[in-house]
Order: sequence, then C-alpha cells, then structure tokens
Amino acid sequence: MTEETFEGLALEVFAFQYRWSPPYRRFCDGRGITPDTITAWEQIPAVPTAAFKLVDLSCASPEQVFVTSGTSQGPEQRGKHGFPWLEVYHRSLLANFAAYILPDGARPRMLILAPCPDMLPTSSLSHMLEVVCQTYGGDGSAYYFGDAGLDLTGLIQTLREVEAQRQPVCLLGTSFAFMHVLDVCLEEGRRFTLPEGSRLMDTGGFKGRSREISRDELLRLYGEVFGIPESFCINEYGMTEMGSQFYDNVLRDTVLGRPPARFKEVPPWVRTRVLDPATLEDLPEGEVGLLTHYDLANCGSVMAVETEDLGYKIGEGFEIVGRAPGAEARGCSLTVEEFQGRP
Amino acid sequence: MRIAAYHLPSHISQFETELLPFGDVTLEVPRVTPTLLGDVMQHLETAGERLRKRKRREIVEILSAVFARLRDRTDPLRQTAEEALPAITGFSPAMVVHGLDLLCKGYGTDSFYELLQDAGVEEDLDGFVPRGSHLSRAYAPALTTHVLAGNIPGVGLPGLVAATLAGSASLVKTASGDPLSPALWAASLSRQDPEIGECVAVLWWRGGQADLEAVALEGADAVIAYGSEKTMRDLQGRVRSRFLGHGHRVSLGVIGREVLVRADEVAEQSAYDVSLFDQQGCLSPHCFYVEEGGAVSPKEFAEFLGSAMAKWAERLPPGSLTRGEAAAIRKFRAAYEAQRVAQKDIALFLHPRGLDWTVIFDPDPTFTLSCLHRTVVVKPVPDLSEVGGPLRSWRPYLQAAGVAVAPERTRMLANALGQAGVNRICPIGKMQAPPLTWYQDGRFLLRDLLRWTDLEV
Repeated sequence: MTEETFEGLALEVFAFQYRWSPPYRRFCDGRGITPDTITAWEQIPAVPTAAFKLVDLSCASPEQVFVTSGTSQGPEQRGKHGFPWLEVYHRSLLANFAAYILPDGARPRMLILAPCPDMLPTSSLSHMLEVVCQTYGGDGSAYYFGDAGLDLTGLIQTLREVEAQRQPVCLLGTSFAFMHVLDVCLEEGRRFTLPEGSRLMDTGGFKGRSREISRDELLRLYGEVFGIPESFCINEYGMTEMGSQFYDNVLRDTVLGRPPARFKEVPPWVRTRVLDPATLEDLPEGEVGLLTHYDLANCGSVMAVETEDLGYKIGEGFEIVGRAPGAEARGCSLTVEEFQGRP
Repeated sequence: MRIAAYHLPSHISQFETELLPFGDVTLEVPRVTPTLLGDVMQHLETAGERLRKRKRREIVEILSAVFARLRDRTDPLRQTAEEALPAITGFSPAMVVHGLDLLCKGYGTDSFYELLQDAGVEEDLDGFVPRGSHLSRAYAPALTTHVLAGNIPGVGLPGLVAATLAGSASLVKTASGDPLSPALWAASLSRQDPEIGECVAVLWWRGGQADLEAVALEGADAVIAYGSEKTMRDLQGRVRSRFLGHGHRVSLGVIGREVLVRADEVAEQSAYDVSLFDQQGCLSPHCFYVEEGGAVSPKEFAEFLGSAMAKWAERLPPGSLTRGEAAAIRKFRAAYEAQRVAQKDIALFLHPRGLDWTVIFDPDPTFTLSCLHRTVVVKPVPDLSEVGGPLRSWRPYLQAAGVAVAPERTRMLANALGQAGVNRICPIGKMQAPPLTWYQDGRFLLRDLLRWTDLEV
C-alpha cells in the first residue's frame, strides 16, 4: 500500500468515524480538529486507550464486543471495543497471521494454551485464536485449557505423540501460560524435540505475575524444553483496542532468506508512530517513546489509538519495551506508584 | 564543573574517591567503606563532646550567621549551589535561586530560640532544672544519623539544625537526588566555626549497602530519616535507638467561597504553591477543594488557576522531565480526557503545547494523587465543613493544607482538617515555607531527639 493510498483511506476513515462515533466527534471537537481542518494522517486525533474503559466508540451497532482482561485494575476498569464488522477484523487477522506465523505456507496442528471463546466469549485473544485455528489449523488442533485451567497432562501427552509422528505443530498462547508449562517441564525434567517446522506464538507480558523473565531467557527455554529454535518463536503484540496485531518478523525473514532480526513489523494497513511524550513529535530510531497506532482495520470505531505502551522504532517496525512507568518520587511527595505499591 | 560533595573531619584525608556525573557537573565523593565510616563516627562522637560544652547562645549565633551568609548571592558557597544544583536536582536555575532564598529566610535567631523553647531547653543542657514537683535534665544524643532523600534542597536542614542546637554531632547520608547541598551547608558551618564544623560529617553512598547502613544506624543514638514508606519500615526495623522517620506525604489546598471575589489573586497564590519545586515536595498541593456558591464557580476557578500556572511557569520555569515522567503526565491527562469524552463534567486547562502545567476540573470529590510536575486537580465542595470526608482514608499520608478563607471561618476549617489528619494549616501561598517549629508529621522536632532524666528529691 503506497503512502498516498494509506493517507487517502485514513482521511476517509477519519471523516467517517467523526461522523458516526459521537464520543469520538466530541473528542476531536475538544481538540479543535474536524475532517475539514486536516490534510495528513498524522493529524488524526488519537484516542487514549483509557477512553475505551468509559465510552462506546463504535460507529455502528457492534456484531461483537471484546473486553480487556484488566487484571490489575478491577472489572469496572475494563476497556470495551465494539466491532460493527467482524469481517474486517478477520481479514486483517488472517492475512497478518499467515504472513508472520505461516510464511512457509504451513498448516500445522495447533495446540492452544488459552481458553476457547465458549469459556471467554469477550476475549479478543480467544476469538483470534479460534478464527486462526478454524482457518489454518491442521488435523488434531485443540485447546489445552479447561475449567480447571491449563490441561498440562493432555498437552504433555500430545507433545510426546507429536514427537513420534514427526508432524510439525504450532503452539499458541499467553507468555504466562507458556511460563507455567516451562516451569513444570523444568521441574519434572521433561524435554521435547518437536518436529522440524514446529513453531510457537506467545503473547502478553508478565506484569503483576509471580515471576518475570527476560525475552532472551524465555527464548532459550523454548529451545531447551520444546526443541523449537529461536527463529520459530514469535511474539505477538495485540490489544483489545485494535483490530490489527503485530508479530515478530523473525520467522518471515528466515523463510524469505533475509538477514535475521527480531522486531514487530507493521502491516501495510497500519502505521505506528513512536512519540516523544513531552512534545508528541516523532522520535528518531532507537529512542523510547509512546506508541500510537493508526489502524485501518479499526474502521468501525477509532482508527487512531494512543497507547500507554513504550517502544522504539527499529527498521521497518518497532519493538515494545513495556508499559509506561509512573513517575518515581524525585522529592518527598507521595506518588501514585508508591501509593499503589503499598502493602 | 567538579565539586567535592562531602564533608569530613579535618584529620581524615586518606580515602579513595569516586565521581558522580550530573550533566556538566561532576561531584567527587569518597568511596565509603565500613572502616572509613567507623572512623568518622568515632571522631564525631568525640567532637560532639566539645559541642555540648558550648553555650546555646553561641550556637544560635553561629547558625544564624551561617544562614545569613548563604542568603548573600555573592557568597562563594551560595554561588556554587546556584551553579551546580540545576544540573544535580533537575530544577531550573531560577527555581534554585528562588528556593535557596526561601530556604535561608526560614532560619533566623528567633526561630532557633523558639525551637529550643518549644523543647523546654532554652537553657544549656548542663544540669537538672526544676520541672513541676521534681527536677529534670535533658541529654542530647551524642550522635545523630540523618538519612536524606529526594532532590529538594534543604529537606534535611530542620533535623540538622535541631541536632546541632541540641548538642548532637551529625552524620549525614545524602540522597542521590542531591548529594551536594548538605555538604555545602556543612562547609559553611565549618567556615563559621571550625570546631562545630568538626561535629558534622556528610557522605554519600549508593543506597542498599547493608554493611555501611549497619554502621551508620547502629552507631547513632538517634536516626532521622526521610524517604518512602517502605524505606521507613525497613530502617525502623534496623534502628535500636530513637528513630524519627519522615515518609512521603501529600498536601492539598482549600478555598472558601468568600475569597473567590478575588479569584485571580487566590489562583496566583495557589499556583505558586504548586509550581514551587515543580510540585515535588511533601508540602506541594495535589488538589484544591473549592467551595461552591462564590463569585466564580470551582470550574471557573480552575481556569483562573490555569492562567496563574502559566505565569509561574514563566517566572519559575519548570525543570526537565524524563520520558517516563512526561508519559505519566500524558497518561494522567488522557484519563480525564477520556472522561470528558464520556460526557462527564470534566474540564482541562493545559499548557497550549507542552507539559509545563496541567489544571483539571473534576466534580468527583475523591482526593486524587497527582502525577506531579505541576499537575493539579480542582474539585468542588458544597460546603467547607464537608472537606474532611474525602480526606479520611488518607490520614496517614496527609501533610499540609493551604487555606484561603475568611478569618472567622479559619477555626472551623482548621478543626475539620486537623481532625482529618492534616498536621499543618497555613495560608495559601505560604505552603512551602513552614516555620522551623512546625510539628512536621505531627511530631516534635528537637524535643524528640532529647532523652530526659527525672530527679525526685
């Protein structure tokens, strides 16, 4: 997609959303911006993710509403994102997933370490994994997550079968679920050599969990326990507030014979900016700032979303470094961070 | 610019040093070892004996002279502070100059006598004095350890002055946010009276070194410490002698409807209290409760406050922000912007481009912690007698309330705020200049350092 095409579509989508999403129109009016006053996609007002917690931004009655997990802030603080046209969501999802998880055209058996949509009907992750599995999953694809949580016994049994059958699999789940599997396998001394071409997609971080681990260490453990090489381990970065996701480019680069690097690539219908929080201007490559996404797949709500995630530009994409920290105390005043951290 | 940021007994000269870079300022500090620290503390105890033999009157005069000279902008030590503190603390040069002036003003002969009087030790501590039906004698700690925190120059001074007045030697462990100011103060004390200068040592070391902390805490008769709640709990558990902890605190402003006829003036005073030290202090207000029914509405007052914040941002420019701090302000603003989108009655008054200041009107009366750096929330209250309600759950953390009300309502309001846990109530515009005799955190300063022996005859 050329810059001109993207810009044309973005401005058109903005005009549409300004017209059909009353809260978004109020937001833009508050900033003195209307479709008539701007000429570039960068000028489209980006809505803070916090707004999804308080207001329905949909441009039409939604076919599906996804709700953030909101583990750290309690149920009333969950963000909601309504999708009037799931078809758009699915197209973005499938094209992007195929490009970065299945660039070799594989249709592997999928082993999913997350709840199915019946268990968590409002989870965008569960929906996403279900759609991907229905479309690309090979025979024997299944969920390893039940009412009692992760089905470790079932998973370990399947992994042993797979080892013998020599058919590659694709493991999908949250980083937290994978961590649990790794912990158990390490403790019990279990190691697998999964068939060549097997791959793994994890998503999410460890904030607020009992154990945190570096990305490098996690990749090393995936290799040690599952026998999956680093270039077949892909991290996904997605959020309920967005219709599109981002994946590590490492497997796609490997398959396409490009020199290996690891960062999140931006699909053609998305633009991601890294902004200096002080000035809201674009930062040069490598400097850490706030991530703001302009996602045409969000055409049914708001395409420009200002996140609280910090990241930096690298190559044709970006890397995420975490959630914006609160300000630490410089002086002697109590800070939000300290107050929240009190026992 | 390279500056020595320590003060040691004159005979200690053999030690390794390390350099702490702060932009174009580099501070040279000793590499502190348990042996060095032990030597220093032993020396301080001995030197303290000479301090206790001096007359109170002399010490008061010396301290007054120290602050008088630091008030003078041509004084070389004052000049060093003005030149180096912006890079070290992150405050703008204008803020540093203003802050140092304000700081020095608070320490004069009268305030020292008041402090001694408040502790009941106007006379020298050299004998038993009548107290009611018996006699009492006060003993100063031989050595007080001061553990400082934060970047606001002068935070540790009340404790240092109190210890010196009481006759205690002092070991100061400076904060990473400002290792310099206490060293300059000790240098000016030495300059004024070398013998008393020998009773104060100032050192910096990286926090969390258990071996050094053990020496500094266990060898002292009293410990005065500043820092987070967590640090206070941790230190308290390791101090066997007297522990005076000052955890992080929050302050607020309260404005009565009757003063809103001069909303611009009150807003200017309020904005000054917020802007000073970029709102980093425990005396910096996080939010303002504004009474309804005045000449302007609380929301209109928020707009006045925004204009006043803009003026103070020019007079006392804000310091630099880290990316994380800037992101925190964006996040804070975004949360309110989101509420406005949800049609809540929120108003934002913002610096037109950057993050120099932020004023938010929020009808929710819940007390709100600010992300600081000149970010303040204005909340309406139907009647000032109700202001204690939203503060109740904040009792352990409350510090000062700046108030602007008619004189006849001051007592009523003070009762409500005092009951809620506020330990200092002062006029708006004076929040950052507490008297030396203020009962910080609701406790005595000098008196809490003393140990008493009663004699019944």
